[in-house]
Amino acid sequence: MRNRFPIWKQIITYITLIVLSGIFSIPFFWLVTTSFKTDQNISLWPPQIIPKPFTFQHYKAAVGTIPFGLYLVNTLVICALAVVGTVISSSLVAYGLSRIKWKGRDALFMIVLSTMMLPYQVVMVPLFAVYTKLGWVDTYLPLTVPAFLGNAFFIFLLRQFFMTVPHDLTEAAKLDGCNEFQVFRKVIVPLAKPALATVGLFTFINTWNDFLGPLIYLFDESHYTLSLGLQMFLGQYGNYFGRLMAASTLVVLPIIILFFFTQKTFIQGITMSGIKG
Amino acid sequence: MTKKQRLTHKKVSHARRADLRNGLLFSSPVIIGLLLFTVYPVGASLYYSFCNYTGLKPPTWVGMANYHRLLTDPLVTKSLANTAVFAAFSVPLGVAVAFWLALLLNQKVRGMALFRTLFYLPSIVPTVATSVLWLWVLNPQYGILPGILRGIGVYSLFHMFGIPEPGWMADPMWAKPALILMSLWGAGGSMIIFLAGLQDVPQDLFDAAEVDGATTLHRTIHITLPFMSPYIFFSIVMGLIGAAQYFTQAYVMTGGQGGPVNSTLFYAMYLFQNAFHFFKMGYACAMAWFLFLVILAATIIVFKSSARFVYYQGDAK
Amino acid sequence: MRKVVIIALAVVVIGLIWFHKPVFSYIDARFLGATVSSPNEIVIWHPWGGTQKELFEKVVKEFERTHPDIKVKIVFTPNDLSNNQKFFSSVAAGKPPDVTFVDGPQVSEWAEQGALQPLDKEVAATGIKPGDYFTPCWKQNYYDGHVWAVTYCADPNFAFAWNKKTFRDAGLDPNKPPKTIAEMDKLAEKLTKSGSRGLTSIGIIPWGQFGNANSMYTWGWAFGGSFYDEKTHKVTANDPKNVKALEWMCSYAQKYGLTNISNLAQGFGNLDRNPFYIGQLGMGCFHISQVVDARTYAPKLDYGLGYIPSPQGGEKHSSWIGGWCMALPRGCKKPELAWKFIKWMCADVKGTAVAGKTQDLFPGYRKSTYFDEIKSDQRYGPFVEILNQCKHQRPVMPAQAYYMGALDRAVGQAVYGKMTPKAALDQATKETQRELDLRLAGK
Repeated sequence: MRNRFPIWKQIITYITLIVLSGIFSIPFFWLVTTSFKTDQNISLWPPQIIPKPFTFQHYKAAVGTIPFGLYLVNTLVICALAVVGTVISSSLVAYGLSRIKWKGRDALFMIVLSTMMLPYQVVMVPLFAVYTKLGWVDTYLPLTVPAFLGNAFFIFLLRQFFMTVPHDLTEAAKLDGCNEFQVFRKVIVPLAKPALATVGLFTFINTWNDFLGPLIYLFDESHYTLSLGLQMFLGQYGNYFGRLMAASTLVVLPIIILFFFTQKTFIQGITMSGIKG
Repeated sequence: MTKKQRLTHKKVSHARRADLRNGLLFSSPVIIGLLLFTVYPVGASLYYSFCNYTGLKPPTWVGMANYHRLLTDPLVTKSLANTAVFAAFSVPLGVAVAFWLALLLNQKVRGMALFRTLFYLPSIVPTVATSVLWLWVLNPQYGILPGILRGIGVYSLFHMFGIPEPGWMADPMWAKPALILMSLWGAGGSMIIFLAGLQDVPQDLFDAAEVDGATTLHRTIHITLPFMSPYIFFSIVMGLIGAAQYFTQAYVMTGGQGGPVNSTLFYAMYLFQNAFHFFKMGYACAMAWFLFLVILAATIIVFKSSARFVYYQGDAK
Repeated sequence: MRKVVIIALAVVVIGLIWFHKPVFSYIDARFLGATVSSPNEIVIWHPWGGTQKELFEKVVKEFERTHPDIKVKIVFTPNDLSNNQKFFSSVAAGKPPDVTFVDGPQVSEWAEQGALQPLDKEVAATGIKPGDYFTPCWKQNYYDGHVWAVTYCADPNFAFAWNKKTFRDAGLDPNKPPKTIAEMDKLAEKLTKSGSRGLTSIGIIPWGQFGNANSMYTWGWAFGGSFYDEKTHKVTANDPKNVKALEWMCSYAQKYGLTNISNLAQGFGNLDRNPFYIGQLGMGCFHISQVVDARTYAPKLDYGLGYIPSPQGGEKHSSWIGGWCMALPRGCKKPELAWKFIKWMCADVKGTAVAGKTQDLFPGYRKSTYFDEIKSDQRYGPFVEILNQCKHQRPVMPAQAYYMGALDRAVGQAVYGKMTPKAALDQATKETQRELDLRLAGK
């Protein structure tokens, strides 16, 4: 690695990073420590930093309260479909809305964007009626099929990425005899890998954490997802606070691991700075 | 087929038609989605906004009554003001923090994977699980934040100017600043997008500037910022749309009431209450459409002004 | 890389072939909507999560044991706006559960809006009479000439609790709880202590009794006020006696300093750090579920339970009813089976006893044998007494949720000194009346 910074600058960078990351990890740190505290110590004031005594009781209880394995499978099935659907559909649409000039393109783009501006609460009841008509309620279809029909947020994001790709590249490919789909497949997609990975990861995390969708559309408790399962730890009169924390940790941990190991691919996946710019 | 219709071909109108066809083909998923799952619900909600509608009984037409009521409802004014204040601070601050983090993380230092993960953590931890934590962090007597502010002398300054110590979430004046501060913890999402975008900034330009003796600040302003403008633009638009509909954290932390004294009653929270608690779905729809128009106007302004500051490499033909 | 992918694919394919049966049934249920519910199965949506979930499941098991011909499937749907969305959407789309729980004060509103169906026929066929239930319970579920729900649990709100140890420490007689507001104010002064960073303990926080709105109801009735005139459909939040009550509540904010109190309250813990257990709060209203909490988290807590104090000229031994009811959603598919369930849970001498005993709740059904068991209990006894004398229920009207919200805001405005108590309650009255008239006119 080429060292391009003087040593004192590096030290400042490190100190800044360590302080900031400390501040940003407080919520997670707190979540994890709380999950290991006994009920008596959870609400201790001022809070304990390191749990003493250290207990696994909440984990045992949490795994016993909801069927973790089943909910994990359910969540993964929905996530997988949502990721595949969103990445494919959103990138196709984003291409159509950024790299091809056609009449009505910008209007369609604004319409797509504006679908995000209407608070979902007011479209929910009629939308539910649509899904009922289709017989989709209490299945995973309302949670997965729309993913294959594009997501406004990611269409916009990918559009921004695609628009930074120099036109010369695609023109050259067209001169070489590529049709529009081949340009998309062979020029844009390879260049946009980090962006597509970002979309995939975001979709995964959003779907994993989605609470409202599963809540509204799933009726059978055996169809529930993990994040919906978490709600069962909250009660009318008594909360299993420790269990909620333990279960939340278990739900959040896989995403953190996934993020940690994949982040390089989607941030540094680009190696063609020679081609670009 | 398509090969024959390449751009190099003679007839411009022919190419245009091909572009139209291709554009529609590529966009077809979203067109189908709009037709299947958007047109009816959106149309229905527009219709309900002119109706007395509870959500369960059939709607009855009342014309502009809901919209008239909207203009005179003090809680609409209050919640709209709250939302505007929140958006005005949280969006630019959020983008700035995310951009700064991305710049810090884009340097080639050891342990980056870990740092990136740590910065992203708050965006993953469920709100319900952390709301209690925030009440602790902000506790006026023992909380971490007041502790730090007291430690570095900010509170002494307050005393000098005769400002009472903030009660944070229990204080109508400080509850919104507290929520804005908390929203910055969620900067990890935009940070990721910026990081991905930073990979597009051509390294050779950077190196050349360094040889010319440009400072880091200079290079950031004159090279990084222009190249990053499409992503900054994206983050501002999305931030605006998100902030206009913000309420979850405030909802959880104030027990769904938007207290103290309505200081955290956000527009979307009031809308939500109207829709599913007060059985005023028609009114909620009117509120939603009013908000829609406000966001749309704001977005159009941002889009129009974007031509001046957003730079697309792809545009240079 | 390619090899890994091929191997992974092969593993998946072989796995699919091997486990095709469970996989197919998984896909059938989750993608093709092929969940076949047997004709004798009913679906219940209930609000019992957290510690209560297992207990409620136990009650349901007992029902299934005594009714082998009915299978019960329960789904936890807490009473919040997100779950309300689910419920209303499902009713609107004609796919409701067979039985749903409804929070007592919401019954009339849900009925008016068409979320429930009347139970008159079932009630008549079963021979249930109004007198079988505690009066406020019955009143709460009777709206517009129909019965819409049956009370599952009746919470006598509230018992007045005082911490005897805190009393002793402050040099007060632990066996002399306040009978009047004036007495309570005097005790509160003695129980309020401050340290270098503000208050360390307080006698009572008048608006801190289960939210602003419930506090307003509690003290408003104790002061002799009323909130609604059913005959004339008039909202009376600004009844002079309610204004007096709110003025009294605000007097604490003025006397001890609002910032001081809210700073102290922000530090309140839960479970065994409950401010009442550790002496930060000397007195307060007790909900029936707190008896179990106190037994669990503070087994040695020395406290007394009695009636809520009232001022001269107010209502002595004032209390009101809370708790959950059960109802049939509009369009429910198996009303006969569903009613059997409701009947056993809410209108059966034995069933109500099982439910009460298991969940530590009071049934709304007077004849439940559970009351004989707990009448003489040191903790539950006072609650039974209060329940027997209970006169009030929150207004039975179709703008009840709005009313609660308006009261919540009014108390907030007044306590924070943004409005006078009179002006705040006037505003709540005006707004709620407007809302109510709108709904009554829409009929």
